[in-house]
Amino acid sequence: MVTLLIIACILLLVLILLLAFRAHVLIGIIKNAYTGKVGVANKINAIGILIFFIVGLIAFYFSYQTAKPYFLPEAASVHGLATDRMFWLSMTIILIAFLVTNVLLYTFPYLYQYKEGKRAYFYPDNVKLEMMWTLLPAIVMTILVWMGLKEWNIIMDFPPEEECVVIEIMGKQFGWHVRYAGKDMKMGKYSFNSINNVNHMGIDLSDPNSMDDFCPNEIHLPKGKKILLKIRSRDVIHSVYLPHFRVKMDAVPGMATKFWFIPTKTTMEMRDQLGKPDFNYEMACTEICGKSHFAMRMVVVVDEPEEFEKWYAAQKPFVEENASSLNLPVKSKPVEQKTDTMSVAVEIKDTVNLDVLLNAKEEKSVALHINFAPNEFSLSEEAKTKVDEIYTFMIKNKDIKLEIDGHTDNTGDPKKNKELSEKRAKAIVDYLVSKGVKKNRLKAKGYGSEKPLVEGDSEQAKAMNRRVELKKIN
Amino acid sequence: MAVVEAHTQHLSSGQAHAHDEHHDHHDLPWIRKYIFSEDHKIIAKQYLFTGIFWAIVGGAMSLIFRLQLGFPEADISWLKPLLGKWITPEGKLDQEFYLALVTMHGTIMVFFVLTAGLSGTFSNYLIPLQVGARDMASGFLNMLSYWFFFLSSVLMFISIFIPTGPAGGGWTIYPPLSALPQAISGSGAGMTLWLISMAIFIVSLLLGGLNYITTVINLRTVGMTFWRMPLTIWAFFITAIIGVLSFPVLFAAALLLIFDRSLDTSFFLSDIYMQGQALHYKGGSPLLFQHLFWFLGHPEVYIVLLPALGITSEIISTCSRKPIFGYTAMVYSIIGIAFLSFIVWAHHMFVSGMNPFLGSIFMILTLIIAVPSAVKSFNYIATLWRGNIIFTPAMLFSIGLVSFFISGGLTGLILGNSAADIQLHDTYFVVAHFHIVMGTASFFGMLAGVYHWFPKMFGRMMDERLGYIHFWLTFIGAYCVFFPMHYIGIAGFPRRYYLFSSFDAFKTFTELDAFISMAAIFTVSVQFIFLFNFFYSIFRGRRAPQNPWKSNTLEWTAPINPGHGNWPGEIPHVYRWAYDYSKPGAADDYIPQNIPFSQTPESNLPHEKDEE
Repeated sequence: MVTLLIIACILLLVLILLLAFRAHVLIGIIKNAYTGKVGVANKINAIGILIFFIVGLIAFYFSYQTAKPYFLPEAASVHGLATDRMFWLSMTIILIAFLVTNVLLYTFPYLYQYKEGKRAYFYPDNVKLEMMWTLLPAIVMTILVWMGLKEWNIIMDFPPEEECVVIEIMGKQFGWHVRYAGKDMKMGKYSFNSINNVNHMGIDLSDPNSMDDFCPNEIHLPKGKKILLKIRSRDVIHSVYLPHFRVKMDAVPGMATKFWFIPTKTTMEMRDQLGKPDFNYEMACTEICGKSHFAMRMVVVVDEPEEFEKWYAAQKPFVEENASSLNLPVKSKPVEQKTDTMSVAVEIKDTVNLDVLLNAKEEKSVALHINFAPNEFSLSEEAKTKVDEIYTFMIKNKDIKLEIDGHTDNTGDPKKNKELSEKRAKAIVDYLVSKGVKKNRLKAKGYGSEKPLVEGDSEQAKAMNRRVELKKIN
Repeated sequence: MAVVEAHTQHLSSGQAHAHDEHHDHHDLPWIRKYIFSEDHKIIAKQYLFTGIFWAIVGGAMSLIFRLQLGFPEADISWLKPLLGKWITPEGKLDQEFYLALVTMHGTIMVFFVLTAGLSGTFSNYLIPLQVGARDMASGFLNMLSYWFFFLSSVLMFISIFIPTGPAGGGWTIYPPLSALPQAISGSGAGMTLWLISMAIFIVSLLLGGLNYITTVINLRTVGMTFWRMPLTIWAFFITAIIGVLSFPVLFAAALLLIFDRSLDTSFFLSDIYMQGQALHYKGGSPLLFQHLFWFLGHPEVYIVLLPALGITSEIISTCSRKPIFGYTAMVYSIIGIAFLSFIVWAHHMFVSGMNPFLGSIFMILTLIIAVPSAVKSFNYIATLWRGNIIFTPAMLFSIGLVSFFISGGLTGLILGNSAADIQLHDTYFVVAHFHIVMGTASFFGMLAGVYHWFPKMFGRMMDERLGYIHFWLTFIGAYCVFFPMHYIGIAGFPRRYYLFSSFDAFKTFTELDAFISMAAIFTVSVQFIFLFNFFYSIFRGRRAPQNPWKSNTLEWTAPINPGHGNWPGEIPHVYRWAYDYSKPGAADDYIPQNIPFSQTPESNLPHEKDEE
């Protein structure tokens, strides 16, 4: 009904405008307004062009000033500082060209607008002038090319592998997996045929070099050391994008690509410099890869070299960590999925707005996907940022009471799953309470795999089902 | 040259003769006159109307995804009657459908609006009328060209409504995403329809292009040498050549992709594990597809842009009442751009994993293309200098085009630099760049063309005042939409993101995104002023005089409503170039191309004296 009314209103409005226009035309005819001569409109348009330019420039200036703080996020790599310099130099050159050409383009129409009786100046060409403005851009281009080539050649001149910390990055729908070479500093082979639900990267487990390789959930980099990224993909094309390090390289299935750089600032230094204590370097995907292209986030941490060494030494090798589920030696036989069910990197990012809970009349719940380490129920730093959203929501809405339900997918022992999901729900409640939410506003429950969100055994379905649900209980 | 001219004379007079005979008894049935017409003027209008239809569809799609980008929190369940299941129960846009919208917006705007709608309309309409021909070289092939386009449009349109949704892998359809239906739902039947539709579209384009080339080479009237052709014709001619040379490569790419999709070949696919399964594809290269795609894709930019530049050259010269500055340089820069457009394609692939040495080569070639482009801009500005400028809506849109061409072209210098491109590749900086330089600029060229040649097409004038309002609102709106995108791009925001809030690095600028969305809604809305003006004027516009803009080119010597065969008697002969505006000594400030030098002794230049 409302829609109909709106449509009727719009039709009526159009009709009125139409009639007004028609009346205007008819009056014009009666008054004999049309003379075929160039009239006052010409002057208005000429002035309009000038005003547009001036107002445009002012808008450009102010919008630029407001946006500037966010430009080119603080560079944190050696080549990044150089390309930034080049960017701003090129920007200055094109800004000058922009101003010069635009001043002419917008003032000429004003200056040379039609005047009765005036004749335009017959000026078909001027070879000298044209030579000049062919050569001038050519010279500027040569300079730009020369600068670009110099930088490009430095960036693309790869140091020998032995000098670098080598990290393998593999993109998949939708997330990243990374691998370090382990203590022997030798990365094992891989094959896409060996990929399964546990061995996401298809590491060749018969290769002795693989035995100490480890696959952490976040990337750690030592400051000031050469980093070599070996990049690949296991399904569609992705693109490794590290905005702060000015790194971008496609991850292509069936073709290894690489990029190298030297980080110049640790995460801590960056936090201090920006005054943002929760700052983290991030890795994103910049090649369209499907549904959750926008959510392929991985945290990158830059440590001081000593810290990095410590972290590196503390990592458990992949085979050791997954010994039970890998059922070594694995060849081509598909492997049992490991019992832990909330461990796999989150495939679905939440776009839910907690506010829907506020206006819910009947019982309404919102599903969140929060990462836990395998068989763990303590909250990781990443998970905490997620839970912080719940915290802000509860602080903003003082009256709301929530039940927090843990759910797992249907793999593994149902009893264990239930226990684990309950512990995890509790951990979230405890964390919230520790931050100052009153205990009586929260309730924790674990359902294990009893209440799946979607049916089915696909990876997608499982990822959907591994979740935490928030329910309003008052 | 002499031989060619003699040949042309022979052909056109022969044809003229045949047509004169034909004229007495041509009462074609209605359907042959207006639907399956072989008349280039009708075919041009068919292209124009189809192009306008697609522009509305493509524009509407952009508004839907702009709503998502500008107001990600908003509940858009009110779009449910239109989008159905693509609105989730929470009132959000489906994530895969968002990508499908982005994909279809690109496909529609690049191919169906700015290639078929722009080049199809004006090449068809203006080539015979401006070179002085009765019709295209082959009216029948020309008709086929439109109907192939129509068929391809129908298929593409159907693909929007199928249950799995239209193609969703980006308009560049990179495999493996576009090859595997399990990767994204749009790569199912939607992608199949996309590929078939594009294959048919290429057939249409080749039929059209060959016709344009043949007509320009063979059917010019007596005296219309190549160096007397208006710049519009040069632009259409060179555009057609680029199209004929580059589109077959896309055809090959599409064909191989069809094989990979349905015959289990591995041209573009290798080593893929998807949804718990290792797939059998072995030895293909996703990069091969990118090379093939961009071998068309980059020339395509100029297929879209050159006709708009041609149209603008004509309009700026006419409305400044001045010869276009540096006609010869303009022609050579069109040829230069066309040639270079074939050897810069890999600048879209600097970080695709291709050999860095290729990156160096393509950076050098890419920046060379800036030189002829700069020459064109300077020549436009020089044409304005000391003119006697009349601001018709067409002229305003032409000035707008030059403005966009400069703004967007300059940022190309940064993107063409492979080292700077590392950070900016696939960010909003790219989106801003190409929307300004090829999207908006070409769109402005198309609108300028419609305003300028409307009197010739429909025998009536469009309302000028509405034209002015339309121009100013569109000009301001378009800058508000695309200029701020540079900022978002420099801040590093990637394109084709459904949401930015998943990253700390991309959380800023939510207000700016909302502003852009509002500007986009505004800009698209004001196009209805144009639509109203356009359709109203077809039926009720003021009747047009024969030569409303006092222009020199041949089409204005034809009757106000030219019939089949364009000129009732003999085709006019051509004696001079198209730009004798404000010639010193002449009585009027224009001398049409069909006026012999013998009639204008008072204004002839020394070297023209021998031609009297």
